[in-house]
Amino acid sequence: MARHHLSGRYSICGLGVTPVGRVTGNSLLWNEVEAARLAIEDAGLERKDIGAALQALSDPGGGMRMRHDDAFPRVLGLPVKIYCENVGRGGEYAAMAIVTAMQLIELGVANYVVVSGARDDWSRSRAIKKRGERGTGMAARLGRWGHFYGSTTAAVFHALIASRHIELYGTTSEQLGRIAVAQREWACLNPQATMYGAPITIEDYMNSPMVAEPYRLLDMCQQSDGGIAFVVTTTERAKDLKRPPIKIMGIGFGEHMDHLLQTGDHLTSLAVDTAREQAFSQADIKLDDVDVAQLYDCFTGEVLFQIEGYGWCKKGEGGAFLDAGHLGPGGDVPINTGGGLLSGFHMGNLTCFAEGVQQLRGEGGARQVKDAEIALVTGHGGEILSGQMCSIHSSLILGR
Amino acid sequence: MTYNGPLPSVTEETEGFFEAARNGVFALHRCAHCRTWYWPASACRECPNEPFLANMRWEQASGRGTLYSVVIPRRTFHPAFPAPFVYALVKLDEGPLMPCGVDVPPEQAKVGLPVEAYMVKLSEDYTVPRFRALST
Repeated sequence: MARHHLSGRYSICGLGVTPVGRVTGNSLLWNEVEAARLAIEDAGLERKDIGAALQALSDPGGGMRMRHDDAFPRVLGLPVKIYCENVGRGGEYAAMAIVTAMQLIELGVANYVVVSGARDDWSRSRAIKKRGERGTGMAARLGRWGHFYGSTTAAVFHALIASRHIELYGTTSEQLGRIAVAQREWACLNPQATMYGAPITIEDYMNSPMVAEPYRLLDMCQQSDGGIAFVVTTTERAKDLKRPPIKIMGIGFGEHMDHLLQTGDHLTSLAVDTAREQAFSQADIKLDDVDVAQLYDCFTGEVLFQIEGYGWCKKGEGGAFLDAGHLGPGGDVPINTGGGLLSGFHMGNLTCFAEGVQQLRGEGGARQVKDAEIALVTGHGGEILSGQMCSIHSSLILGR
Repeated sequence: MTYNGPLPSVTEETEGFFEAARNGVFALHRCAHCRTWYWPASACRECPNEPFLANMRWEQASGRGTLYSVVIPRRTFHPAFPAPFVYALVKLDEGPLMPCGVDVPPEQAKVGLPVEAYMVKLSEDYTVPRFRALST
């Protein structure tokens, strides 16, 4: 098998991460602007070099993020030939934006493409709590299916799929807890993580309150404010810049569009199969070649499903795999090495992406995985029927 | 008590379902050719479809099913839905799965429990099905 002709031809040459987490006070737009500014500076580029800009944003469930403000490329004065808004679906931004960026460069529209994404879930959830509700404001007066049954927040409908896995395979709460504990251990090595300095044990997990049974508080991800941006260019051009190129080795996608509510198939899996096969074959790698994996983890169940889907263990055997203790610092399967969305921060899969880039650059500090050369970064999202099922999955292989 | 929660966002594609509910009828989308049931609104996956899915109609269904996957919110996320309550995927006798509010005590909400739909009026304009334990 040979690598795809585009594998390794494009690279990430700049990364910008604003203060992120429980950091209120900056708007979505201001975080997009600041992240993009940092990414351009990180690459050693000037604003005049940027030929295209993409906004990594999606409509999260039922709460439309209506924008009445300006666009980050204009605020920054980027001389772009094209700006696309809302490149993203659910929590998947990075892979969709990179595919778009690669084509814009391939077609000669731009030499350098900046992608910037921000979220304001922490601020919004504070405001919503003040009016006596919880979550990120999905329950508008008119809501999607589920809202009028009380499924007004992601935890409720996401718990349906974990509940099904428990029913079918006998997975236990304690096994889900091992994911939460392992990722907290990683977060405690990551000063950027919201839960840095706040270790937990499996007892803490078992004592944490049920929120949407079977999910406990510690099965749920962070809500964060902040922005993350990156710059894409050809690997040839990236070699002359400030930072070592982080190569885009493979990108694959999958959809669980069909038969979700008709047959119940795929309720205990993400659409990993096609995404994995496309990305791994483009990069010409196997699972064993992956040195660090940043798996989209809005809840613990999604991590479990991906551990099975990518083949670290067989379908249905994820619980036993977790009992065997492969995760966490010192384990043989480095997953979500920055703490992930669960204990790090939630910038959609830009969280996973940024950690993947930092690991390959060797910037991981105390959490650095030795000699990390290949990173798997995944994304997940898309709302069907108020997000009972998130249908898209993306696999992105990065290499140095 | 007056319902003070979110109301359904009804679209052209789903208004047949909500119109039936207003008339006390639990309806599913059904293919006029092969008679396969669907929910939500779908093109038939067994037959070639007519232009604009003219073969698909909202028809009265049994309203019966069994619990397939169960979630019990233990925290109140919205004042209209005090915890605990039951939110579940109901495996309808006709085949499709429907995520729905189920009015049984949490300890009774086990996978396989037979349930039946009944209509609940949320406001003057909106009525929706909920499920309860099948009366024997």
